[in-house]
Amino acid sequence: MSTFVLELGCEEIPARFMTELLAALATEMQTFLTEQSLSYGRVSSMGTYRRLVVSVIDLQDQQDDRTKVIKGPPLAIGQSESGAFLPPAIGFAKRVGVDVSDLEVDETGPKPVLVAKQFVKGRRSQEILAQGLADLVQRLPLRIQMRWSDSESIFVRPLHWVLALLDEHVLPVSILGVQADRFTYSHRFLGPESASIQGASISVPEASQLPSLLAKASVVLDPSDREQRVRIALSEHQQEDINDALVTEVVFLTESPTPLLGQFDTAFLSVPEPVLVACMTQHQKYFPIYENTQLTNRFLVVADNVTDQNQATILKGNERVLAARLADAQFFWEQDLKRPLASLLPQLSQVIYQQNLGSMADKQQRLTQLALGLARDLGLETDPALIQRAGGLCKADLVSLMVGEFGGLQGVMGSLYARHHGEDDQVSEAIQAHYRPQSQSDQVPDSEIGVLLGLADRADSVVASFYKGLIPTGSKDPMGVRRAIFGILMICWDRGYDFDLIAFLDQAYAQFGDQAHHRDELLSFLRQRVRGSLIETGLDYDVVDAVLMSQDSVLNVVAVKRSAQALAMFRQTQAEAFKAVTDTAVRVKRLAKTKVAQQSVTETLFSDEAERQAWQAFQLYIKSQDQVSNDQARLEGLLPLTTALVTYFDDVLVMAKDDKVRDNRLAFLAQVSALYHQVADFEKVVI
Amino acid sequence: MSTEITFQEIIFELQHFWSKQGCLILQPFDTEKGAGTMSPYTFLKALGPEPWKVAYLEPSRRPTDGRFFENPNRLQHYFQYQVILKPSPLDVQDQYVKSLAAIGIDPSQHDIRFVEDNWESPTLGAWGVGWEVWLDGMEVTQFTYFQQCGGVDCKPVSVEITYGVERLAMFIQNKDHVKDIVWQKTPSGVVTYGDVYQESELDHCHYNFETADLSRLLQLFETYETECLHIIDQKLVYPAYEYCLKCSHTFNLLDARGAISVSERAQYILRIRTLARKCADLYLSRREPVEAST
Repeated sequence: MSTFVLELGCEEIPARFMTELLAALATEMQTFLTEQSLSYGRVSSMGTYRRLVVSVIDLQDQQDDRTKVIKGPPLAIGQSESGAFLPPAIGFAKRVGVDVSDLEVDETGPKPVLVAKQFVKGRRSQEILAQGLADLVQRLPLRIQMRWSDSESIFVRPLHWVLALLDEHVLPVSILGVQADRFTYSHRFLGPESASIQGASISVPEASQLPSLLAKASVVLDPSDREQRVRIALSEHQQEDINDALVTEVVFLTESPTPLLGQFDTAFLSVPEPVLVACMTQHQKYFPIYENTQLTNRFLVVADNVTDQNQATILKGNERVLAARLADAQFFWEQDLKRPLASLLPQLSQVIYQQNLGSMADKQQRLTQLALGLARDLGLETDPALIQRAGGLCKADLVSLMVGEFGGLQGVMGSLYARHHGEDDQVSEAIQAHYRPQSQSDQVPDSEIGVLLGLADRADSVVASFYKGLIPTGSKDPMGVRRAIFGILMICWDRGYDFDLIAFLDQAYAQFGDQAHHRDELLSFLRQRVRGSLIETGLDYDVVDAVLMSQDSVLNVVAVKRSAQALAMFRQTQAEAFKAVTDTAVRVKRLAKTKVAQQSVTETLFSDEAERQAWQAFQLYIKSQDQVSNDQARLEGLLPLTTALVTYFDDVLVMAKDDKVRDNRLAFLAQVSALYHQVADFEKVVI
Repeated sequence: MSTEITFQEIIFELQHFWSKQGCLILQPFDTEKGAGTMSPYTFLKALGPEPWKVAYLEPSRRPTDGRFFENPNRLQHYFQYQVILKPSPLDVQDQYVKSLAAIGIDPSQHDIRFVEDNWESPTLGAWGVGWEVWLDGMEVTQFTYFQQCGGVDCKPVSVEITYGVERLAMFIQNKDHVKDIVWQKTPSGVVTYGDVYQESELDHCHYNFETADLSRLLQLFETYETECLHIIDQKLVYPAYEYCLKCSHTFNLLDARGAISVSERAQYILRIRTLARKCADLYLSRREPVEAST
């Protein structure tokens, strides 16, 4: 058993890539070892902005020896009945290098074949790693890749050193043109005295010592240790609601994280909290300090090169930078307040939403109309004048100075400015709310106007994208169509808004003109997204498909979800009935596919009792539907009909010789099929 | 700082430092441009196979950034100190940090960080990856490994170091406003950045935001573009590129006047990029024989 470690020493790797890179490094190593049939205790990866490290503990020194079985010719042509080997067998044995008399017969397949067995000596892990490491590194995911100098190599940042040790041995391997050795480097500035910011070179005697030697050179290699340092500092200041993304970011912006507590002039606290927080977190990567959920004038900066001598200087420098940023933000805030949102509209009409699709002011108008129509269709009692007002202001903050500087504050600033200028509370709330939910983990906001505008805004964006032919494919989704559709679904399901999404999107199309470009693609994309989202909630894909297919010209996502849940429940609680309904519906549907001219059913043509019984059950079902209030009841209503049809198929020959009788039966089944189809397309169900 | 270094001394020190690193010290290029990158010493020289090591101070103009000298660090005319090393040496970060030491910033006394910041110039069809350098939280330098210029892959790759000279001077001299930077202590007294530039900065702000004649500027843009294309037809790279720069600056002036809507903006940028790309292609077409003969 050995310990292996690989360290790739780079120039500063972007923090946002680190988590993914380290995870991939471990996964690739595990895959590699498994493929190579090398057993191991544990693979783990660690790293900092300059280092990608993967280590393997209890690595097998050598593959197990094994016997390789090579298939040869069928026994029938390889060996005569007398047992003599024939030319195909002789040739095969020669080719694989065994004596022909050592060939064996493998009878596990349909026909017995001759096989050769070869002894394969296990290769040493040292050799295997040396051969495979360079390729393994090439397989790492590079979101942004670069070239440097006159090298042909491609990586995330220029590679400076490679440390590759199997216990005390350096592996003879070259990665991206860099020869592996046993040297690592200290922290750029904090390590032992060195001539360059590469840091002091440290010779690592054996693999397991890398982390401890780095620790002595002021490098905390394990991200969770660095995270610990940050979190301890935050908890020392009684911080509870921690910005985890920021923690991860600073963890990968440091090798020796040292939190320092700074402060700014309390006068800046007059600037709204979201702005102060954005200044600190986005631009400077500082943690704002709260006291009982109240923002204070203190912050935590996580520096990387702190000593007793420079601590005061570094802190003062950071405080100055923040002060300048806050002064800027205060200036923006005060300037913006001088202009009511409505006065920004002329400027908004200068901001092009998309070429040929008008300005952001035009978009506002479109979404306001859509929202008003939706409120009407849903029969909501919201005051249309308020919808109109909120819709007419919801994008105005995009041309405010503050949002120009902090794009992430769109909506937030609009709400603050609206409130400042005395807009109705419902209006100012809606401006911020119409962007929500912003992610899967976000909540659908309470603001009804905000939700309506949000649905309208997203519908407009989705349609705009398809209208222009910007159709999302694979990972490419420049307009964020997937996210927009997801937002629509989250809202509909949260609110239980019962409406036809296709009609709603058609209204959005109508605002762009007569031509509904790429409407078919949009609808099928939409169905895919609805399908995916429902499956994510734990519903079986076949149930989802069956229900979705039953809504071909309309798409009420609330109804679809309800029906799918009912059908899933039906399957779960009444498995046999479910199977009977499915089988019958499928049989009916297949027969109903036979085209007949006849539409209506003539009762006098019925010749069989089972036929009349089925017809009766059909009539009863239709009548009962008037009283049915939920999907569950509707499904159960199918049971008597299904029973009648089972008998019908037992007794009645649908394809009768008499054309009239046959067509009449097919016409009946077409009606029955349509009826099943209203519930679900049972052909999609996998029994 | 105990021994406060003046603005002009900072420039001297940088010139001296990079000269010792083997760079040519070139003088500013005499056509208005938005950044040191747009100098042909960078934009054209980053293309093609020849090695190139230069450093130069570049006056840069961004009409929309003018603030009538009110904002502590936004100016419509400012200085970049630009270093181009091609091919990029592996110890470039080290050289850079030593250059900071040369202007009085002891790296052991500060928190120097390289934070991801990639660079893209749509007008030049150029992009690169790199960092902004943080000095105790303040962004003082842009670091870029050029990957493409004029839409063409850079081979070998150049690294560009762009110092914000005013930012560094404010940091070193502990000033809160750019106008208070000490340009030089002369026998007849201290001369500040404001003393040198306040008057012209104000004039230019008035011109950029209020006075510039839109129809004439639009005409100039068309004229410069036509001339640029004419020169490209004659296969003269450098004069053509200068007219491309003139187009770019004229566009910036129009932009500052708010004369360009967002949709037009994209169109203008595309027109300038087309010119830049043609210049780059022309420049490269001259390089090919060089490559073939070596």
